[in-house]
Order: sequence, then structure tokens, then C-alpha cells
Amino acid sequence: MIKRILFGTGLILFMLLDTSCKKWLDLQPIDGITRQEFWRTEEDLAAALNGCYSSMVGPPPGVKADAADGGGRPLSTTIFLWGEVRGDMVVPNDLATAEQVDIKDMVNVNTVSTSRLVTWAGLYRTINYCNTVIEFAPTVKQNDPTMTDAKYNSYVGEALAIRSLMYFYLARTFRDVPLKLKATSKDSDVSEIGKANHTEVLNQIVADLKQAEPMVPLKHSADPAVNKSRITRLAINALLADVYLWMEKYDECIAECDKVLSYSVSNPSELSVIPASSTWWTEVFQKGFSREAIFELAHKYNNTNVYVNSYGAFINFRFKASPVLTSDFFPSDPSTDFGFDVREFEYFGSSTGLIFKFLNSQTEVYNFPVYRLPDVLLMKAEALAYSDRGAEALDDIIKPFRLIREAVKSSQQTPDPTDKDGVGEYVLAERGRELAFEGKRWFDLLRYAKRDNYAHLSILLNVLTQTVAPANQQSAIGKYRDYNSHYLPINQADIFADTKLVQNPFYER
Amino acid sequence: MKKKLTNSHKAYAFMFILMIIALNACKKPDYTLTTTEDVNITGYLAKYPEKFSLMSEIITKSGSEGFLGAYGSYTLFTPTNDAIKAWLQSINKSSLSELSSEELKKVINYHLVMDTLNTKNFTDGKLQRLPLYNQYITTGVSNINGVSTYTLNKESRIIQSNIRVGNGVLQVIDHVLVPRTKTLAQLIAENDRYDIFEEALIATKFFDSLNVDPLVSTDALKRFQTVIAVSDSAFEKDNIFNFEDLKDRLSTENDPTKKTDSLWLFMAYHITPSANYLADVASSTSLVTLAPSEILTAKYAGQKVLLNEVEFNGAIEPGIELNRVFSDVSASNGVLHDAKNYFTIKVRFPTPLYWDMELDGLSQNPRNPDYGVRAINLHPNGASFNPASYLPADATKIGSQYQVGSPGNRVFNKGDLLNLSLSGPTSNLARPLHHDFRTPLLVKGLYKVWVCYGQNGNANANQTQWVMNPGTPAEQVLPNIMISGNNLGSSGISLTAPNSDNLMEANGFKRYMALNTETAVNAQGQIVTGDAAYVLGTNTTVGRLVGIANIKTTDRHWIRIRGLGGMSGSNIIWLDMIHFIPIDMDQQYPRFSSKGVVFKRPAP
Repeated sequence: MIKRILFGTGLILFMLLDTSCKKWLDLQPIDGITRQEFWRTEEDLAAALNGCYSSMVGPPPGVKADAADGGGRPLSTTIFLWGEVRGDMVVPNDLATAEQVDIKDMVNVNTVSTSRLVTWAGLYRTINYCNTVIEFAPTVKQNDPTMTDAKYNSYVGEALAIRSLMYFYLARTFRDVPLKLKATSKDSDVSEIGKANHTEVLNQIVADLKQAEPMVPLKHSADPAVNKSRITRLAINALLADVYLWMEKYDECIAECDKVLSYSVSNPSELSVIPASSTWWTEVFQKGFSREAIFELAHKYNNTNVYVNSYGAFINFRFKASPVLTSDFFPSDPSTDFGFDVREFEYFGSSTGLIFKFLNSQTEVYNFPVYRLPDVLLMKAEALAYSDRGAEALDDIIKPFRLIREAVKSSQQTPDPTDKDGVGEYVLAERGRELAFEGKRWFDLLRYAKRDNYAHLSILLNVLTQTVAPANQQSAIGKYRDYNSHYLPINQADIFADTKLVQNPFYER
Repeated sequence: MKKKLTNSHKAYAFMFILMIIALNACKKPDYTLTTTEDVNITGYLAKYPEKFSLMSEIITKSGSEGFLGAYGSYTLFTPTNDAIKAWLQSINKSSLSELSSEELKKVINYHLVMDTLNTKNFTDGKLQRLPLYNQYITTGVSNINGVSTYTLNKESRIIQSNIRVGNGVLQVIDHVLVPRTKTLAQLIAENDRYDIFEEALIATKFFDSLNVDPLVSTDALKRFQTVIAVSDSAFEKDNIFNFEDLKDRLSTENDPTKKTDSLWLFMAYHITPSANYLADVASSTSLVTLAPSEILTAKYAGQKVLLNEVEFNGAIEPGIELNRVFSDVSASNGVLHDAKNYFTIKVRFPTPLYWDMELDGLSQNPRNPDYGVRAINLHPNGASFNPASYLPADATKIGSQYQVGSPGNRVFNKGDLLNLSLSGPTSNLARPLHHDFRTPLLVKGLYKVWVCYGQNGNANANQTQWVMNPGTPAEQVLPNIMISGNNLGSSGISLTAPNSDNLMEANGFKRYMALNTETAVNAQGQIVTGDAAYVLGTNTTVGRLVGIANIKTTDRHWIRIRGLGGMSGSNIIWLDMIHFIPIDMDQQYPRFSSKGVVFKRPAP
């Protein structure tokens, strides 16, 4: 009996001793911070949201910017590759790098699922950061009573908008994509999800943006550098307008554009188109955060020039301006009534093809414009053209806008205001002139081509006759007749990782 | 005792369990003994008998199993069972057993390429490698009901592409590939479109050489040929209604079998050695023909393939379009195209070329004042210059520039120049050893070649040499050494002497810029003079005769400047123009000015 008591006491003692070792068994990392420790104060939430923004301008620690699969590519480079390579504004140079080979293959409609250009890792990384903010923000709200509702709403709204922006790029590039709306913050969150239908993704984007719109303020501070590099309500309106235009919902698109334009009318010092002058390019592109900008990827903050290796007059740069820009978009004008189009002069060298829009010297850093006011103006013009309001598009938008840009007469068109396609294609050409090299061209071309159940496929086919190598041209035209080919294949590695992902059928044959 | 026993039993049992665990731990681990788990071609086909059992059977019966199951890099175009059944039916056989192993071997040979070919490598033309059965397979894309697939020989569609296996690539196709059995001659003879052309082929004896099966051909150069046929209706457009009309118009010696007869040359001009599909034609700039020294130039415009469309003497000569519908017809020994118009060898007489070295795609843009100050690097990758027109020796060397300006206050045509860095083979190797430029179209003939440059005082001992078509059988070294430090005084003639122009020409020098006293009419119709800075005594802008070039084909030719001996310098050559002037023409005029005005020889 005594033995038993002794044994029992010993056991209890051991258990007590055992618990005193708690500190030793506690596995908190010494060089980091855990989730339980993190989501406590407003500052934590702000830092997390900053992470979403900075993940767009450069890869996070631990991811190499030049990773072979392209997973460390800054968003602006990804947008440029997805938005310009298949368009008619840039020509890739002959470089022997593996990525340049993939770029040339993309021009020749030969992209395969192992291409370095089809990786979406960077965008989904940002999406996951946004999901984390959206999911844990309520915890912070509970823990930190000093955070105002306005701040809370703005943080969540901005995360929703950034996530929507990512999904919009993905949907336009891959059509059907996995729709991940929950954070992946621990191993057990990793699960296989299949693709969501294109329309489903777009509807989610619209719902999220509608939810975010009232949550985010019109401006965050008096500093334009903050307002142009963070999502504002105006940025949400611009993005929504773009989404609606893609969905061919013209009335809704016009309504969103009007919200931006009316703000511009009442606050011209914050938002307005800057007239052509010798300082226009300096203001808008070289300095950035201009009053023409709505939302920019602020590379100026992380001080990396992502364009040095893309274009400009430096060794081993990858792209030059297409000769089509000089011959078709900016035809020379002997009458020289305005001199020359300020955009031709400031964007590229018309005979050398060197692109200066985002690059003047190797050391300068430029922001990447995601939405500018002229973009919104032209989106509205396009929506007007396709909702039988061509005269408004021509007289109220295109004509005054071309005057501001000192456009030359030789690039002027005089379509019948009732001719939807005539006005629409004039707007498309003007978009080309204004937004050249901003990663918009392919999405513009595809939006026009697929309008009204692909009634205008010829727009894409005409581009092929200018861009594809002669030996591949007929094949490329044959491929484009299959609409699946207008969307990129899913990266082979992702297909292996997620058995529920189904490859775009065009790339299976 | 009993207790003890039990305890030892327990101990034994415990030991026993331990041993079992220990023994199990010693179990041989399952190492992978193969380098890869990929199956080979035969293994892959065996995995899917419902789709490929018949192909497996062909491989086995033809005796190809050994190598297709072993190491290698192959592409096998693999018809499905359905495809093979349909093919058997089409040749009136009920099963594979009715075919000999020899026949089956042929089938395998036509479906097998000794290389791994991804669909990425496919063009609108032929596969870049021949299958084992020596006949080209063509590739393309077709769209049926909105679904695009790659096609082979226009009839087989790839239904599953780029299957990687251990020893190559499989491309699954829905039709068996059947080799062409007809030669080019037979195709033309069978087709009613080409009656006149066929008679001309027979009369010139080309018919026989186009009727040779490549499997028995002994002449490697003529195993595959390309014929650009002219249809009867195209002849009719030029009022040629039968062979007699053609013969009357062309035959100069009344014997079309003679190689000097123009009819023979006409037919030879429509045949090119090797199989050139439209994609090949479109991506080459010129095609050699069987007519000696005569080439066809090719150009791609929109979706049209045009022959002989050239810019010559400032005018664009419209080309001959190849009719896509009737072109790219494969024969066993080549490919047949159809020209929309009758065309003959263009008879051209040597014409001078006053070539400003702006090259393709780069010239001063008057609307862009920025160019006044910007020197543009000549990049090797086609960034600033068309790679078809300029090739520097090495991208890593000290650069050269296109420049608007007047280094050393020299006067240059149109106010621009190429400022080249160059080194001899034994000196400063940080600089390029040569630069290659491609001329505009030069008509065959004999030309005096004048290199026009600004004298560079730092280049006194710098010897350079010019070479036509370096590294080709047509290579020709131009004999005179050019020293870019030489001025016109190096000719030994006093510039102010009367008759100085003729005396200098005799010594291989000339003025190529107009004097300030000379006049001409500019594009706006105004009378202008030469540059004020270019007076009779100015000796710093030099035309130097580097030699006589014998241009043997009418084409764009390459010309190279290379450094000799120990010469070396960055931006040492101020190159402005090269004049190719037929030897029997005026070598001194026209002259030029910095405004780009052309000055003709003044009337006596």
C-alpha cells in the first residue's frame, strides 16, 4: 500500500516536473512571428496589406526574381508579357536566352505548357496575401479597439480590390482559373481545387468590387504618391469599368467611368488629363504619381527598374517598338498642322524602334501605370460606340482628347457615328496610340475580337500577318480559328500538383 | 520456480519480437535500379492496346521492335487502331497479316523520324528532318468546327501531341501517312492546268529529270526539286495560247535543249534545287534556280508570297504572286507551286548604286529633333539594325554607332555617318575585327567600288580592306588598301589644279560631296548649292576606289570591312557611303550634300 502511495506520489511529482519543462518544449521561432502573435493591432493589418502591395512590385524574400519558371517576376513584367507579346506593338529581339525563345514561340502561337511565360505563381501569391488580410482582419478588429471602422473597411476593401485585379488578369489570360477565396495559412489548408468557369470568376470579381467600393475612400491622404499607389474608390471604379467592358455590359461600364470622370471635373488638380507639353512625359511617366494616374504599381518605392532588360537602348534588351506603330498608328503627316503627335515623340524612336516610355537611363526607376484617366476616357468611348451613342464618343471624347495629345491629322478617322464598328475601331486605334507598351494591347484586341460571339476574329488574324514569322503564319491563323488558343495553357507544374486542374483542350492536341 | 520460468518465457518472447523487428529492419530497401521510370515507345503502345495494338503489331512484324524499345531519340507518328483499319480497307486488305514484313517496314519508315520533333517545331511547310523513308512530311494546322489541330500531309490530324516517352516523342494521328507515289513530272502531266508548261518541259528535256524517284536518284542535288509551274490561263493573260506561241516568243536558237536557248533558260528559271515549300520560300530572301547565276527573290507581304518584287533604282517592281490554292503540292521528289502570272528572267543592265550607309530601318527622322544629338549603338541582335543588313563581328566588343553630326567638322551626305570601331587581327582584340553590311539589290556586272568616308587624323596608319561576300564561294577581296587617315591629298594631286578630278580618279580618289560653287535643284524645286564648308581645297571627305567587284548574281550582297595588321581604334572609321558604279560609267558624278541633295555633272 505504501509502495502504491509512493509510486503515486512519484508519478504526480514527475508530472509536475514535466510541466515545468514547458518553456523548453515551446517551439516559437526566434527569428519570426507566428500567426497567433501577429494579428493583434491595426499596425499588423496595415503591414499585411502593405505585403499585398509589395508582392506586386517584386517577389517576397525567398523567391528569386529571376526564378527559371518565372514565379518571381514582378507583376508589371507579367502584365507586359501577357498583354504585349501577342499584340502588334512590340517585336522581340533575337536573344539566345531560354525566356526569349519562349517569347518568340508566343509570338508565333507556339506556346506550350512548359513555357516560362505561363506561370501564374506570382498572382496567386498576391491573391493568398489578400485572402489572409480578408480572413484575419476581423480578428484584429476584435483585438484592437482603437482601429476605426473606416480604416478597417479600407484595409479589407483594398485587399478585395487587389484580389479582383489579379483575378481579372488571370481570367483574361487563362479564361477558366481556380477561384481561391480562402487563405492558405497552414498545411491543412492546402487542397486541390479545379477551375472555375470564366463567367463565375467575372461575377465574383464584380461582387467583390461592388462590396469594396463603399469601403474604400476616394483618397487616402493629401499626398498623391499615396493615393496613386494605393487602391482608391476611383481605382475600383476604373477596374469595374474594365470588367464590365470585357463582359460587354456597356451601360454599367459607362456608369463606372462617369464616377471617375465626374470626380475629375470637380477635382482637376487631383485627377485630370495633362495637356501635351515638353514636360508631359516627365510628369506622367518619369516622375509618376501624376494627376493623370489612377493606380500605379509603385516601383519607385522598392527602387527596382524592371524595364532595363525589357526595352530601351541597353545591351540585351528584349523588345523594340513594332514598325507598325510608325506606319499605321502614327503615319507621317506632311501637312504638319500640329507638328507631331506628342505620344510618338515621347514613347519610342520611330526609326530605331527604341522604347523610351518607361526608360531614359539605366538607373532611373519608373512606376507601371495600371489605370490612367485616358484609359477610362477611352473605355467610355468604346462603351458608347457599342451602345449606339457613337456621336457622343466621337465629339465628346475622341475629338477633344486628340486635341490635347496634339494628334496629327493623318491618324484621324471620320467614321459614320452610327457605324458601331467604325467608331469602335477608331477608339481601338486611339487606345493603341495612348496606351502603347502598358500591357493592354492584347487584352484590347481580344476584347474586340470576341465581342458579339467572336464577330470580329479578323482583328486578331490581321495582327498575325504582321507579327508571325512567314513560315508559321498559315498555321498560326489556323490555330487562332480555335478560340481556346486565345488563352494560355496552364503551367505543366500546376497541372501535376493539382489533379483537379484540367488543361485548356487546345494545348492537349 | 514457476514464476521464474514465466519471467524467462516473457524475456524470450520479448527477444523474439525484437529479433523480428531487427530482421525486418534488415530487409533490403527497394532501390530503383533503372535510371528512369519512363517507358519507351513500344512500352507506351503496349500500355494502351485499345488504341495502339495494331501499331504495336506493325512494329513487331516489321522487325522494328528492337530499336524502338531501346535507347534513342525518335519521333513516331502513331496512327490509332481506327486509322490503321481505315487504311487497310482503303488498300483492300482485311488484316495486317496480308502484308509482307517489307511492306510494313516501309510504313514504319515513313512514320519515323530520327529526332525528337515537338509540335512547336512545325511550320507551314515540311518537317525539318526527313523520315527514314526519304520523302518529306508536310505540317500545318486545320480548323474543323472551331477546333484547330496540327495536320500532316494535309490529311492526317494530330489528336494527341507531344507524348514524351523514354526514347522520344509520340504524335498520335488519325490517318495513316501514305507516301506520295507520283513524281513532279507526273503531277504536271496529269493536271490539265499545265498543258503548255508540260510541253515546254518535254521540249527542254527537264521532264525526264523531274521524273526520277528520289529512292533511286543518284544525283543528291536533284533528289528533291521545286517547280514553279505557270498555268495555261496565266500564259493566256500574256497572249500565249499554246506551246508554239511560247517557243516563238522565247526560243532564240530554235533548239530548246541547248543551254543557251532562252526557252531552256526560261524553264530552268522555274525550277529550284531542293524542296522549297511556300513557308521555305517566304522565309528565304532568294532562291537559286537551275538557270546559271539567276536567282528568284522572294518576299512575304500580308499573306502573299511574292517572287521578284524588288525595289530597284527607287521604284518598286511588282512581283509575281504564288497561288496558294494550287501551291504546296507534294510529289515524291519535291513540291509544285503555281504562279499567278507568266514571268521570265529579268534582263537588267548594271546600274550604279549610291548607297548611303543608313541601312534598313534607320535613317534620320526629321520630325524627331532628338536624333540631332543621339548616337545610336549598332546592336548585333537586330535591336537597332535589321540583322539581315548588318552583322558586327562580336557583340561583346567595343561598340560602333550610327551618328548624326560632323566629327572633325567633316561634311557627310545627309549629315549622318556610321562611326565604326575596328581592330586588325594582331592588335587590340577588345574591338571588332570586321563589320558586315548587306547592299541593296545589285545587278550582275562589273563595278568600281568607291568607299566614301571622312578622313580621321587619328587613323594615319590604319589599314583596312574590303571583301565582297566573305566566307562564300563568291568571296572576292577588293585589292586596294583603304587608310581612313588618308585625305584627298594622298592621291598626290594638288586639289586646286585644273583637271584635278580626272587626275585623282586615275589615282583611285574622288570628291563625292558637291563643292560650294556647284548647284542643283532640291526636292522642293529650289536651286541650292553644295555645303558652304566644302570648298575646292577641302580634302577631308574622301571617295576611295577599293577595287573592281565582279558581281555574278543579281541579288543583295554582303560586303565586309576588316582591319589589317596592327591597326586598331574606337570610332576610328567615319563611314558615309559606298558607290558601286559600273566600270563604263561616269565615276565622279553625281555628288552629294549634307542636305541629301543629289548634284548631277554640270553641263559642259
